[in-house]
Amino acid sequence: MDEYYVATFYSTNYALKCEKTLKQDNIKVKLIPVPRQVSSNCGLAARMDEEALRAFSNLCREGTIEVEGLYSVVKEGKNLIFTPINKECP
Amino acid sequence: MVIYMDNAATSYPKPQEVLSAMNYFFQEVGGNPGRSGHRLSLKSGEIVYDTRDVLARLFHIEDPLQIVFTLNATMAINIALSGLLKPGDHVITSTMEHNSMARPLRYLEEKGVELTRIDCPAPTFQLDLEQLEKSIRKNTRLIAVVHGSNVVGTVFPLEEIGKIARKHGICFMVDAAQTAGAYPVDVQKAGIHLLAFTGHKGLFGPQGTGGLYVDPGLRLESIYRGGTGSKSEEDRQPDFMPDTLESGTPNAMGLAGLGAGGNYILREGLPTIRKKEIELTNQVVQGLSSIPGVFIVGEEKAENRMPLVSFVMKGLTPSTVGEFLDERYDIMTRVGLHCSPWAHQSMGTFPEGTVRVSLSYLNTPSQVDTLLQAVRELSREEVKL
Ligand SMILES: Cc1ncc(COP(=O)(O)O)c(C=O)c1O
Repeated sequence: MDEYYVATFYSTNYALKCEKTLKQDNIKVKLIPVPRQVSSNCGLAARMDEEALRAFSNLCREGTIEVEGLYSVVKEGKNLIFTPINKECP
Repeated sequence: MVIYMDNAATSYPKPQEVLSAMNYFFQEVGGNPGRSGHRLSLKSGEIVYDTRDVLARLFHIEDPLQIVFTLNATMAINIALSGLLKPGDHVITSTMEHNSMARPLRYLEEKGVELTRIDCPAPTFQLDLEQLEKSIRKNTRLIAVVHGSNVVGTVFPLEEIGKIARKHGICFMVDAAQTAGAYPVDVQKAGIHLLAFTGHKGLFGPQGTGGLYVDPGLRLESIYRGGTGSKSEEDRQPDFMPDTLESGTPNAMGLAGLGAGGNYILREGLPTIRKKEIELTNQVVQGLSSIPGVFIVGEEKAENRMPLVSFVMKGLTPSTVGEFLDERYDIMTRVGLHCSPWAHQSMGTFPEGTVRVSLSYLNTPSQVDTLLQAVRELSREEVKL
């Protein structure tokens, strides 16, 4: 996967809720330590692909999950480039 | 083999999967939930979250994050009452309350909170709903009552109480220590704003687990503050749930067990659990009623009560009865006041109390037969202990 997305949260509990809620719909997300390129209130972030991002955004709009920041991540050579994207309508 | 009939104090034995879940946590997980980014901390956090989720399903709570974990029901009740009430507020409660409700309320009364206790008249010891509604004042902030009595087993009608609370715009708090896991509780249907529960009774979890559900519209002031694993750069308590009311490392291993207990209940099904409890209760009540000199305290029908029966025996103190059952028949019961002086005062069984037999889904009819045989023998003989 060349491009993926990373969401950060205000609290670990929000991250865990996000993971659990998406998993119940068979959507894959992986909780990872927050990458050093972004800053966050909580130590966990969610990594997802484009399909998962769509489901994720729907849940954000419904207010089921709350997100702090959302980033797209692309690999450039040996570096990862994090670009903030609009968390309301990515 | 011991015959354990003190499940209202704490349930024993626990389903095997509760032990397995705790063992798995201890052997394979071990991490601090939600504090670090490594996989063992993450796994621990997931286990604790799963337990929130299971409890939310059991109590019909929409958002699992509205559940705050505590050590027990007592801590949950204290967080709720102290977090909500201010001097000048009026609270309505019942005379059947456990000391974990009675004492915090008495304490707050000394700080200027007004208190009204509603009678629960014999023989069923049901809450007098008419008197409840009549007691509402302009400054009534909260109706706070026990769901199932730990002394006589009577279960209060939550939906009807909730209706009164809603009609008058008052908060409704329930102490579900006895009922959680063993009797249906639906916070949405009953309009419950605050639900306190303990993990080690009907939910089949270990001791040191419990929690408080808080309605999303309520803001409680926390009685303690500290680390939450969130907003670590801030030296002020976060304002979001559950972190705002839940500081410090939780009992993650215990919560792993509590989650397994909740899953066990969901799998067996509350209707199945209730059916067995009702059968066992009827067996105890019918058996004890047929023994001369035995008086049951609390005559609510089995459908509206927990599987527990309080009784006294003519010419014998409750402690004599308890000792006999333990030493001659290996039957564990509880004797005395059951932490509920208010209830015994209004029942006329103060200060000696009663003998309490309390069952769980895991008791059997043949155990009840042994109990009845023991009490029958005791009622006939001059007992020397
Ligand atoms: C009705 C009732 N409320 C509260 C409690 C307190 O529970 P815990 O000791 O787990 O805090 C109990 C049990 O002891 C109880 O029976």
